[in-house]
Amino acid sequence: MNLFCQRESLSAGPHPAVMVIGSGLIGSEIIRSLESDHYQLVYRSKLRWHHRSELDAQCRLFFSEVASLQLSQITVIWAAGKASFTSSSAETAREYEDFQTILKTLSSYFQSHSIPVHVILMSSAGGLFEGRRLVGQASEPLPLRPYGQLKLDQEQFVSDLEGVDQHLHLRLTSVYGKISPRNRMGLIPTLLYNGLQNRVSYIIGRQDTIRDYVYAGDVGRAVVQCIYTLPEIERRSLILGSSKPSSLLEVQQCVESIIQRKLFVNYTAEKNSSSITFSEPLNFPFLVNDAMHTNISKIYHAFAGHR
Amino acid sequence: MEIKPTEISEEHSYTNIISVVCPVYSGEHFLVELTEQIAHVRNKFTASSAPVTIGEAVFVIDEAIDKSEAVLRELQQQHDWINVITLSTGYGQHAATAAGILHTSGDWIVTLDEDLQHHPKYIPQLLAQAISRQADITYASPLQGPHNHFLRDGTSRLIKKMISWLTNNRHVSDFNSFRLIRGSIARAAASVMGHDGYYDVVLGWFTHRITVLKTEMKDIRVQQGEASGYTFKKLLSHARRMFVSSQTKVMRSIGMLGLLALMLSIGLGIYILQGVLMGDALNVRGWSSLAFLTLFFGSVTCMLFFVLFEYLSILTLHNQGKPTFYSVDRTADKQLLEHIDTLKTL
Repeated sequence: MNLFCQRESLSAGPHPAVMVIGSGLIGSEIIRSLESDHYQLVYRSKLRWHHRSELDAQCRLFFSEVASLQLSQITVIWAAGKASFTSSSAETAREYEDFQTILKTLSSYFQSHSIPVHVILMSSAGGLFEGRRLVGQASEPLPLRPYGQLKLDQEQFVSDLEGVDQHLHLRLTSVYGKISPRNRMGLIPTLLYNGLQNRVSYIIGRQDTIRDYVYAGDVGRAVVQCIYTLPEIERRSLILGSSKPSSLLEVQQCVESIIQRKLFVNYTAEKNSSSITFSEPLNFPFLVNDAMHTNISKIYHAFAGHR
Repeated sequence: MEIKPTEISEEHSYTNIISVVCPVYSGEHFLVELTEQIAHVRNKFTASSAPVTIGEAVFVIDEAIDKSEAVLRELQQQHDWINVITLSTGYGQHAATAAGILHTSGDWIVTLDEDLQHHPKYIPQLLAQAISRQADITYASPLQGPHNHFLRDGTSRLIKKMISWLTNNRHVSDFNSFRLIRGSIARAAASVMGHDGYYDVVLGWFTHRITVLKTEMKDIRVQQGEASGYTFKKLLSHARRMFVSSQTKVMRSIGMLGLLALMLSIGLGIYILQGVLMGDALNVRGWSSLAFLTLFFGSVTCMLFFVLFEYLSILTLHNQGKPTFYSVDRTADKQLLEHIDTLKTL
């Protein structure tokens, strides 16, 4: 859990704060964007997820540490989660339970201190609209697997949670970001990394499978914008993506042109390799850069520069 | 409009999506009518039993010289299935088409011009033709010259025939910007196409299953007294682009010529040597050896050029994105085959 406040407001009486839960691919980009936007990290606490029975206690410890802060309002951004497309019902049920525990504890604490709570939930467009094409903002979700159902349940929970003044579900399409070999990587960083190592990449899908890819950096920037404009956003659920469908072949070509090497790719067509695309216009109020080549170049050069 | 396909099985039906792609340069006076015609076909598909619909229309503004963009933005507000892409500068029809195709999700893609020369009412027939002939591409072909001008139409046909011969590509004469293409192949071709590529040549790298449908095509601009967008300069530009996108048999012809000359020189050399050994005198001194040397080294030069250009051709095509292989899934076609009669009569 990472608590941020704007630097200039820290010494000026009650001020709004932002809490980011999760510091993986998306969480870290949100944190980066907050820091670029003059937010300062005030307190950090690493949640021990494997000590599930203690999550409630961990939250309360966090509250005691930040009790001295005068908060006028708090925006909680949920960007945590280990579940993926292949997770079982048991795994998603455990994650949902932890999610409920933490959010209930947070919301009741802030409510008891009369601090208005806004919640921005990072949901999954792929999980909710699996196998569908030309999905629009008004489309009804129809999850096909436990992961998708988890996301839908989380959205419903946030919508119904007492003590939450405003909420927004951001349904992310396929997010790609930095190369991080020690963590779970998506398609594009995997292709980059394996390509540089001359290793074979095993991809679930076919050359003509089409998906919508959105850059994690753009997600981070968009989320920070949402913090400011939350009351003005009409819809409670927004699909956040580039609106540009890209085939796996196109992605492969793009990566090859950037790293100037041929990629060795093994495509496996399985049931979860269907195309998922989103229609224009998404009417998302914030600019999302759909220049995949530029973004992949950024990822590559950031990685190459650190080697 | 959202399409909700599910797995192809006995119990579930799969809705095939057609995406329409239209590069726009000066379509201000035609776009509203064009959109209405596309909407009309869309409604016909919805009303029919065929599991297919027009899911989206992608208009690509390629440095339009009139108010096309304003018209399209207005149309986009009225129809949620319209997508408008604006290119940063004028990249040309092929590049604009490729850009539009790369923004589609359809199982089939129809490309057409902005000026109603290509009428959307033929879309069901184009699809029916592709399905019934098990093709990946259906080119529309004009019943008579679209420009109704003997010189224009005749020159266009002649140049296509020449390019067809030079590039050994029998489909060149069929190339037309009014085409229906299998979606995965269209997108694959668009993603590998280089900046100077000719889209139809690149399509040929992915499939040879091509069929043709005769349709009525009229250059309405000319009929309405406007200047045609078609000029001789543009025709030559298209021809050049087609030529450089293809492997040509000109170089191979030079190679064959060199080989022929080499064999001839060897034959002549043997003849001369035989004459010298047998003591036969030749009429003109020096002629025979000069002829032999010229022929021999000339043929060697030809052969060297041939080898050089052959390597260059391979490198160029590789650079242009010609794939080693590509796989395709045609299993959804059998479902459409069951509705072929419906498609033909729409």
